Amino acid sequence: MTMQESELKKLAEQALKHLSSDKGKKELREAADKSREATESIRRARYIDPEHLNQRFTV
Amino acid sequence: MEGPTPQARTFDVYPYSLDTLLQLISGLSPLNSKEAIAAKAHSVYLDGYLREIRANTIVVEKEYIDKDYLEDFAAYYVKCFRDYPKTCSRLHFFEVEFNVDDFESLLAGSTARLKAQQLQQSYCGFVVIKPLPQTIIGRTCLRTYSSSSSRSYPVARKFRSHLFGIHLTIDETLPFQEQDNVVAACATSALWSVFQATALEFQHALMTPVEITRAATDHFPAETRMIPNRSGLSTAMMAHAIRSVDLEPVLLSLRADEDATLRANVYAYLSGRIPLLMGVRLYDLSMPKGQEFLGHHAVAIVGYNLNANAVGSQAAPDFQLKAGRIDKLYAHDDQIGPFARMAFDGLTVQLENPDGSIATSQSLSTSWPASDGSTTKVRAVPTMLLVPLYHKIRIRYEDAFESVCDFDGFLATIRHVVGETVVPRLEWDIRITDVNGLKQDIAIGGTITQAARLRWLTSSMPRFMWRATAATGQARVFDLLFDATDIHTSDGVHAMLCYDPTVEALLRTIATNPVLSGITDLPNGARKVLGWLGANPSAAA
Repeated sequence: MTMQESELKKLAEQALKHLSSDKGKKELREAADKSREATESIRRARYIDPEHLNQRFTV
Repeated sequence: MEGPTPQARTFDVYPYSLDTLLQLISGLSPLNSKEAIAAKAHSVYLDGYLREIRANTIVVEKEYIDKDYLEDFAAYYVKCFRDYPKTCSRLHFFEVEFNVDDFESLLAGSTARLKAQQLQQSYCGFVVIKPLPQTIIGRTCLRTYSSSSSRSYPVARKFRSHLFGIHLTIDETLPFQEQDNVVAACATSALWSVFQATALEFQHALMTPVEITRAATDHFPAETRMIPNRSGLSTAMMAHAIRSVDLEPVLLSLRADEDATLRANVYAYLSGRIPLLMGVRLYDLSMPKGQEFLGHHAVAIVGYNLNANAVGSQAAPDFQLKAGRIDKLYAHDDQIGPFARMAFDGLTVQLENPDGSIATSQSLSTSWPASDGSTTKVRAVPTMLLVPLYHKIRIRYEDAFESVCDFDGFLATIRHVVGETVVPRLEWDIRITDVNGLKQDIAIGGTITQAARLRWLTSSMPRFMWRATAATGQARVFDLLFDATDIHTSDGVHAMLCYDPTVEALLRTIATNPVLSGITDLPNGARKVLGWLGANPSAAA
């Protein structure tokens, strides 16, 4: 899909206006929080229980 | 001039059946009875596998010198009082049906009954049979199941073998072998298979099982005796073995209450042609008194299946990760066979915590035989992943993930305003890639302009990148590229490659608008991507 440049400019301005609004800022903060939480869940895999290091694979 | 002295034939040819296979193996490895071989899990698994890849004929190469076995033999078996043979045998499998006379005629130079080309086109692969008690499956290269859009074996590669002067090729395989319980444990065999892939990918020396066990245990002088190896390898030992081939071991511990981390990491590395080692706890659920813990086991993860209709566990709400659609893993499990299926089928097991409390854990199916003889009741609970990485892959998966997740959140926010027809909902495919893989993909599959294609193909790029492809359905919208060789304090965004001109134009317009700099709540990852677009206004497409 292609759009006229003027239409895109209008949409971009609407998007920026929303991002600058209180509602938009709140949505951005919530998005950042969700992202942080999800990343932390994956990052937790880096915390190695010392017991894991000595775990023998025997079967 | 006289020809060679007449001698017993060094080959045989048989039609394939399980009974013939068992009979042959016990004949070639006479320390094992046919019944003992039939009782091994490998027999049932290999029979199913060979039927699936349509093996109809077996050619027996009675004397075969296998490098891996020879090293193990020189390190251990030759010094036993008992006289173990130094040679192995090899079974070759073909789809085409022929008999010993057809094959003999071909070797003698007549192509009237059988042509070498027929053998080449229908070659299923081979299994080396070791002359040892109990542990008989040596180097095994069998072609993968026929490819489908959902099944993927990114680390499988073309493999050549030679049979009495006939060049044979397996298009897609990765060598497998069973632990011998003497110079190798399950972890050794898993490492051996992983190194078969990484040696090619990162140009390191191939190690035999005994060399891997020695490299793994060199730094643990106070540990119990390592050869013969009766007590397996620890995670730390496996990491040392990885370091011994100049790769960096990345250890990830897996939690029992979620499997998104497992799927995400398996997909990210494996689709970048890097196999992983997975540690699991095995439980037999068939016991009358409840489940029984069988022990800790290590396998090499070499493939996955993506279910187009699956709603897999996602790493974050509303964040669609392609990896979440993985519903099966394929593992070289030395106690089962090559490419053994381990499915995320939703079944859980009860684990006892150190404090005595009971926790429910996700588990994977296995093909292990249970105490009641079934092959569906032994469950694997993943505990760790060990990833062998080239040293230049420095930026962690989760760093790229966070930037992508941030940017996805930004897109969701503007989607409310501009609509889904302009910024569609996206599924993210995050993987490690190298510059050659990326450029090859751009060269054959990109939907970008000729000018953009020329610019991207000829531009200088880091050797390794995290590539996050945003797609809607089958259509790629854009790629975010993060320099994986960078330092973690850098902004990391190497480039954005747009396939959708509307999305590209909209994002570029936003990125170059001065108002953006005043929006302080922008997630950090979104700021990095938009920052790159703002600084490179014409380079995205």
